[in-house]
Amino acid sequence: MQDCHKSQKIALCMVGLPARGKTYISRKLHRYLNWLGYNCKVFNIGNYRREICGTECDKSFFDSKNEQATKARNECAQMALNDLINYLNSDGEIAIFDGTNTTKERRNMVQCSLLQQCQNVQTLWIESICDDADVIQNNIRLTKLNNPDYVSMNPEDATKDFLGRIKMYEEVYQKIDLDENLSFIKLINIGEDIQIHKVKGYLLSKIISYLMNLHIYPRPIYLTRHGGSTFNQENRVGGDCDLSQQGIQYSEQLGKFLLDEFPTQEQRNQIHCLTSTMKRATHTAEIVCNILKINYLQLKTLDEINVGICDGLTYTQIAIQFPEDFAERKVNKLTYRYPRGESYLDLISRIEPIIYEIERSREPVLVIGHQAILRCLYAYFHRNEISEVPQLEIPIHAIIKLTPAAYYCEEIRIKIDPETGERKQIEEDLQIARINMLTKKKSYILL
Amino acid sequence: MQELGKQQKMVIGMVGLPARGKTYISRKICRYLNWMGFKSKVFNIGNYRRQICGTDCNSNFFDPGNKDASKARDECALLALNDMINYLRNEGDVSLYDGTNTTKQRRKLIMETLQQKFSEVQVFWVESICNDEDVILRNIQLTKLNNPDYVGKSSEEATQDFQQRIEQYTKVYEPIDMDENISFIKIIDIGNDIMIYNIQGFLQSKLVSYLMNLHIYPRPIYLSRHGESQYNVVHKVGGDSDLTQTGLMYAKQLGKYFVQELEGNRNIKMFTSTMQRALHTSNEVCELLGVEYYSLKALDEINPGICDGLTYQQIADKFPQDYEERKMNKLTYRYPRGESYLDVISRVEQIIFEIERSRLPVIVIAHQAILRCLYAYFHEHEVPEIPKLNIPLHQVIKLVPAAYYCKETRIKIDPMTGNWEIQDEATIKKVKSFLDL
Repeated sequence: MQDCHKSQKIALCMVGLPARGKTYISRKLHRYLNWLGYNCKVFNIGNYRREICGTECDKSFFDSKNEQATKARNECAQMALNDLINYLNSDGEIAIFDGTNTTKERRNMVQCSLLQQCQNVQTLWIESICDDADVIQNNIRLTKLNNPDYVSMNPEDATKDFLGRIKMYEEVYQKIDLDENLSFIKLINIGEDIQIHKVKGYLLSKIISYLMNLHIYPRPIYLTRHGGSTFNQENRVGGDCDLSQQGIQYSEQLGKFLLDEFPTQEQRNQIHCLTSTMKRATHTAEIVCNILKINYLQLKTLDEINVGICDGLTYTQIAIQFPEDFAERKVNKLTYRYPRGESYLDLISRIEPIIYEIERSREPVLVIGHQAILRCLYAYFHRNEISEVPQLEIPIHAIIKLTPAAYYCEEIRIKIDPETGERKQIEEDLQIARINMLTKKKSYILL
Repeated sequence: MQELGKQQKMVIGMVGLPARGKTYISRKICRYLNWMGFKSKVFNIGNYRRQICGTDCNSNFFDPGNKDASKARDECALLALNDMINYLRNEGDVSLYDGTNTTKQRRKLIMETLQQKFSEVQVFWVESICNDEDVILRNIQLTKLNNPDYVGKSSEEATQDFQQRIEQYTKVYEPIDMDENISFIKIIDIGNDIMIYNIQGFLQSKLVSYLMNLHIYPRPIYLSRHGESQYNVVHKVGGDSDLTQTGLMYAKQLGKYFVQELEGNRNIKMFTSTMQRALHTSNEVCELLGVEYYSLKALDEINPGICDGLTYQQIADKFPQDYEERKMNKLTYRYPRGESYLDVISRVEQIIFEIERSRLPVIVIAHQAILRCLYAYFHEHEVPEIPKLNIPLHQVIKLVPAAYYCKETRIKIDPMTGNWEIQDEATIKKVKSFLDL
């Protein structure tokens, strides 16, 4: 679907007081849009300020009466903006301008620069408004105290200074007004109230729909493949075979594992279990849900990638019977489409509605799926580059637990032995450790 | 697409002055929900009023000071409400309460009545606000002058009376306020501004996305199957066969048709599938028109799974049980390793959004099952009818959305001679508009 809509560039500009979730929203949008296949980048003014002015800025730096500081801050904003415009004028498709942009003057400057200097750009202003003191306090605790700005301070001092910083901004804050003639969406109190003004176009409408479904409930998402199947044992692709004996055992052990994760029946009743329409997944779900005493939902959209004419063959047979295709797939696993079948890109397009559903859900979600499908889902939650998707490791007989945290997803992988039921956390896995470290570090600097 | 968790029954209440598009919106929502598989029905308070109080009501009837009339109108509103609740208790999933509901008091009455009689229901309000005089006047001309209320009156008389009616309502109009503590969406000036408050759940979320894409530009939608394919000739299902000579000629004639029909307008959107027969048809058309097409896997023909490449006779011989099952339940029957019509509807939903959103003419060159699903959506067919709808080869279906319905024209194009035969079905729909909703 994406190609139909790549004509215009898009600039998304955030507006809001500090600790209102602007960076959270920017990151989520960045992840979603990249996953969909758009070249998207976030330009965080705070990062520019930290690089140029250093990280020793206490709240007086943000006082609008501090002329020198104000000049410096404006320069940083301008630099970020320039980089953003250059990005859009080259190979960037969507750019997100993550900053407070709390005055009409600043917004006007940004809007005019964008319209003048970018060829063919659409802009959308996203204002996050929140007056719930608890939410703001929680936000500060989760995201600001680890901020490079407060590396040397203790939590109480840091919080006090940050609250002081917010006050500086509040003094000059002007909410977006209709007379500014901007396309905007206002998200008030985490989406309880939403106001949309003059938003048109495929992508902007999609972004609005996506934003409407966001929330900050930290519910866990469990991803697991179906138990081992007879085709898995023979190394065949496709097919609609049933579970092997080991697969059945895994399903039982999985059920027991989840019984421990959710000790009370009330908690279990809240789980949303999704699976595909294929025997091996449905059978796994049946066994698990019997143990948990809950229902599961079968969705054709979760069916494994359609391998077309290669259905039922082993990789060796494919290499022999269709050598050209085999080679092509090795070179370009992401875009290669099996004849009469699908490509990974088709899959991403196909499972997009599931992403919306999972985002929207405030209750735990359990997805019992297939390798290619889970690679796509996992890549979305873990912000992998789209090119990495076909190589992501989603082992059989293991469950991945993702818990969305402030700017990244906490991940735990647990291998469950089908026979003994022994659970081993795969923490030593270098890939996971590397990703976890990078994402934590990445939080504040480059995206 | 099913959603996570059980879906509660839902009531959607419309709010707004007369001629603000409430009936238009309710009918569109109703059609979309039915197509998605949620049994929905519109309960239009005006229809109840016409039945009970007659159609000779001039604007005085709507004067809030007219006590007798107000009492009668309240009774009609409650009657409609009761019928609506009964519908939900039985087979309905969603009821649309199509009326002005312009005062806080009326809205409160409805919320309290629902709470009393059917507390498990979710309520969602849609308010349409419009201050553009031209739009309102056009609305009156398109939809009110044909209204049974004004049969036998001249259009000036009718317009004047209707405008007075609007004034009566304006006197007491209270737009939805946040302190009423209800979930709502306000659509202002046909979507220029939208306000959403407290939406909950899968369905409300989807409806909001849907409503954001609506507009009232009367752009045409053209649906056509690919030209005749090799499999068509031997009556085989599935496959990715190419066009026959005849099919190729149709593609060229189709191109010529569009050249004439679009009169040089290149600002159109064209969608096709990823299958050869559709791609080649689209290639021919696009060459003549000078436009580009978008090839979408979502438009690929229904996947017949293990029956791919067989004729219906062969299917009957090899898989007699499946053959029988499909005959009995063509809508829900899923080919083993393949799809059902319900799967196709789910798949094709994103295309519906695309088409709704588009303000440019849209051309879709696809396949029989796909077009049955698309056509059913635009033409308000019941979902069970979908697998039997008539979408023959070598024919273009032109749909132009009008006030409450789609004007349909079918153009048969002879691949050899290029002659067109036009069939107009517009008039049937006009009658349907005001009676059964």
